[in-house]
Amino acid sequence: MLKNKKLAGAVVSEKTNIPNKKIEENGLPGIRMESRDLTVKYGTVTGVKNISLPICNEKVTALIGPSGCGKTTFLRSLNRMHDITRNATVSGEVLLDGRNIYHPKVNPVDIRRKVGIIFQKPTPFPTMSIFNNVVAGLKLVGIKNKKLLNEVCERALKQAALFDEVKDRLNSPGGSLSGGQQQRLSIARALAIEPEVILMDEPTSSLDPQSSSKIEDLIHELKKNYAIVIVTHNLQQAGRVSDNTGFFYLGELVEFGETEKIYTNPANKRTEEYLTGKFG
Amino acid sequence: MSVKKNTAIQNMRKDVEIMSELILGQLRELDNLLTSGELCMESEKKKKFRETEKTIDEYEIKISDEFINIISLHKPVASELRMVIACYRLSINLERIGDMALKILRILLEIKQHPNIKDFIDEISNMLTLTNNMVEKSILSLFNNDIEYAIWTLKNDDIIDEINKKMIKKIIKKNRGQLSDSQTLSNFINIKIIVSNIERMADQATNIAEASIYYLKGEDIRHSDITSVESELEKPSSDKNE
Repeated sequence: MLKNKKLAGAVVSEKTNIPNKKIEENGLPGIRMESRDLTVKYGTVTGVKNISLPICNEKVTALIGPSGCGKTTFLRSLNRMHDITRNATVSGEVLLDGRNIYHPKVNPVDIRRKVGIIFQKPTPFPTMSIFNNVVAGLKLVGIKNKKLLNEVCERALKQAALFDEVKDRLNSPGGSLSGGQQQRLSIARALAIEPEVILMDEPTSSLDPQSSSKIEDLIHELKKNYAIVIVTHNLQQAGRVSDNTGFFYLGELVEFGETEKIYTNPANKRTEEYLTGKFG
Repeated sequence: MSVKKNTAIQNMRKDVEIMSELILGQLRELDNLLTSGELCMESEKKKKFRETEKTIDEYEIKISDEFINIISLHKPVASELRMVIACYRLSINLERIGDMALKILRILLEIKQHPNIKDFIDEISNMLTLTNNMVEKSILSLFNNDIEYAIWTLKNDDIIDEINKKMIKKIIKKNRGQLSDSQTLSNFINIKIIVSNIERMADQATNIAEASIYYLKGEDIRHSDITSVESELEKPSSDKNE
């Protein structure tokens, strides 16, 4: 049965289209995740330093800045991907629902289930069927119930706005889809395990404008149920899709605030210069 | 920085500056006409005034096209966006000032023969001089990044409103009992139109000052009380001067 089926940290409910509830911990309503004085180093080289940034429910947070400024480093630290990076050390805290994900007792696998990530290039398993691509995460934790897998697959594909395009060929390989469809398939796979936060690392940089537009529409739909963080080099895209924007430069968070404010009247001179193309 | 975007914005700004110069020239002509007290203008000057008005209209269309192109092609943000928006708002207000200046000129030249106008000429002249100053300073505030000039303009709008009210009262008082005479009534209406148009030109100047403040501070202070926003505006803008 679907109801309250435990997935080692994730909960699949019948009302799967509303997986997240607002939390009001730390006295900050709507904050799902938060970094506090987060510093990531690669050996002696500092990737990001002292980053404190809130990630809110039902909001899209865009991270912008020139190449090498630490956006992706910061993003990857939000689901402990640096655990598998050699020489990488992380200090400070990342709170998810008020709990530090870097606490020694926290299992990073659980964190990665709660914090899904979409990469720059679509990452479907090319020979695996579309269906198996979507439910790969569930199968990995031992879910075998076919009815449940079917329902989760349909729900995730619908959420990723891909179902209508692939419903008649769920057994076709993931690699047979177009680039834009593959990226939405990657998103569906991330959604299937019902994460709380979705991280997107330049999710449209390898897509054509039409596919990019579909992903942007999808982000707009998904934010109703998830907290989303997106790294993008496309300033117009960041302006279109996000509610809050953080500007990174040389590993520091220079400015964070509402996107409208940042784009019309940034408080910091460096943000102004980056946005107007004076550097970067 | 995108050279193409920068050039497009600079070209728009340059056109607004030219349009501003044309408007200020028209206002100076009007001021000279009133200051001389003769209310006479050579036909050559009249012709030039009308031609300039046409040129101003053409600039409004040109600037509007430039604005659309910059927004659609270059997607400016931050101070560049504010500059483009401010320039566009400026061009709309300048065009209206140009229309009003032409209307005032037409009426002044129509009623020049009538003695009633002489009783009001000094007050109208003073009102126009102050309004011209407001228009000039509001424009300069944008192009010289001078918030003080914008605030000065906004403060003087109340003075113009006060002069306008006093003038209307004076016109009514002077013409009391004579309004059955069609010529007097016509002059009364004409003087009222002149004064109202000058007052509306001052309103356009305040619009320009507000556009300038939007560019300089990123604050939209339209429909706000100037005394309440003045102290806020004088604060330095966070760490932009770092």
